[in-house]
Amino acid sequence: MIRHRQPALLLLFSFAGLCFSLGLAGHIVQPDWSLALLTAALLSYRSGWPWLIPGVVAHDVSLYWTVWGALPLAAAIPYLLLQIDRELGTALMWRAILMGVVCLPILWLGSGFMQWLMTLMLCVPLWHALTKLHARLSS
Amino acid sequence: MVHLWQRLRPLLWAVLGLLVLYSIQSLPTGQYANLIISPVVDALYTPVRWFEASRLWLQDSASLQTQLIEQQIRLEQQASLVQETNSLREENKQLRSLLGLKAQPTSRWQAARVVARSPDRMSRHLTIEAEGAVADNVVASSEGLVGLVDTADGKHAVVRTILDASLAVPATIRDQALAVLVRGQGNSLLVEFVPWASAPPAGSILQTSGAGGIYPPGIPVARITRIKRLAGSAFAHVEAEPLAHWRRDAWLAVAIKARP
Repeated sequence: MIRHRQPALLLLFSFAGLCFSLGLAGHIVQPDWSLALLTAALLSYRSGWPWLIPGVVAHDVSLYWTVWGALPLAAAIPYLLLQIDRELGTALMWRAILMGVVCLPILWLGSGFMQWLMTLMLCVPLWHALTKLHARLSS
Repeated sequence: MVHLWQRLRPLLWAVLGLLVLYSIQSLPTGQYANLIISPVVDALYTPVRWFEASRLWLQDSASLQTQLIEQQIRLEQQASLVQETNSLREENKQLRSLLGLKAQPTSRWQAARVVARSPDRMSRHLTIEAEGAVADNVVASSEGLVGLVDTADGKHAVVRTILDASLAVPATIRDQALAVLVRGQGNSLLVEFVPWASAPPAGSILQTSGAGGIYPPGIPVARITRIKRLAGSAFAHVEAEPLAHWRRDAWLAVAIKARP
């Protein structure tokens, strides 16, 4: 049941994250909820890119009015993960580096360092939870 | 043939993807996305508004009394300003008729609640709840100019603030002949065409000059923060900061142009 609905659920949560980012900006320092979730989903399940990449496009367009934000780096994740897994085996450190790099564009799009750090801090538990969920669903 | 098609297919997909991205980038997709999302953001923010309303309801009546007295004093002060404005408007009308000038389009200021802000540090884009607002309506706060309406759907409007690089505001300093352009730089403002010889000192307040007819004259825009001489140029490099604090203001004002 969850397996079939997972893409829709993730995109729905990502949309909710977009709404929080837009509605609460100026009131509190908050992470980029949507980007954290989408990056975590891409890292935990690289085959999900056909429905996750449009989510990243929606994120960039809605929050920053550009498609050249996190998208180019996020779109490279599935390919890079494939290469890294093939060359180096399942390398956790490389995945963590990719996570940091994908979230970097929010810094030059005007977000603060604190926001970037909070996005990474949110991304780590989400990545862990989604990886566990995928492992459970595939076993 | 089939082999060639299989080799070309990823390339064709990549070209198609780039074309789609280019179209998204060149159309005002972000603005429309913000307009579509704004009712949902508004709904999510409702509990916060309820909380604010209940907090006001429970506020001590004594403090409300004090606030009422303060507001009454402010109202009296503003009444005299309104009277002065009306007499000036009448005088202006008479002068214009003497000079045979066409009547300028009048605007009425309307309060607008801020629904959403872009998440960057300076919130370069805002979504406000403003019925009847259309593109190019001026948005201001009690401190100064905020920006221009970019897109509107009748109920909500997306605002580009003056920090957006696409906006240039013709400005001047009160009672001076200076004519400059204030341009957005993302996190600060750049004041262009300031002659070095007559550059105003840091701390000077720039206000809209009314040139171009988009921004009404006399709205405070920015405070000059830094002036630097450019080698080989008659103009100075002048940086400024906006006077309006739209990142914390919950309410702004939109100048809705009256229909002719």
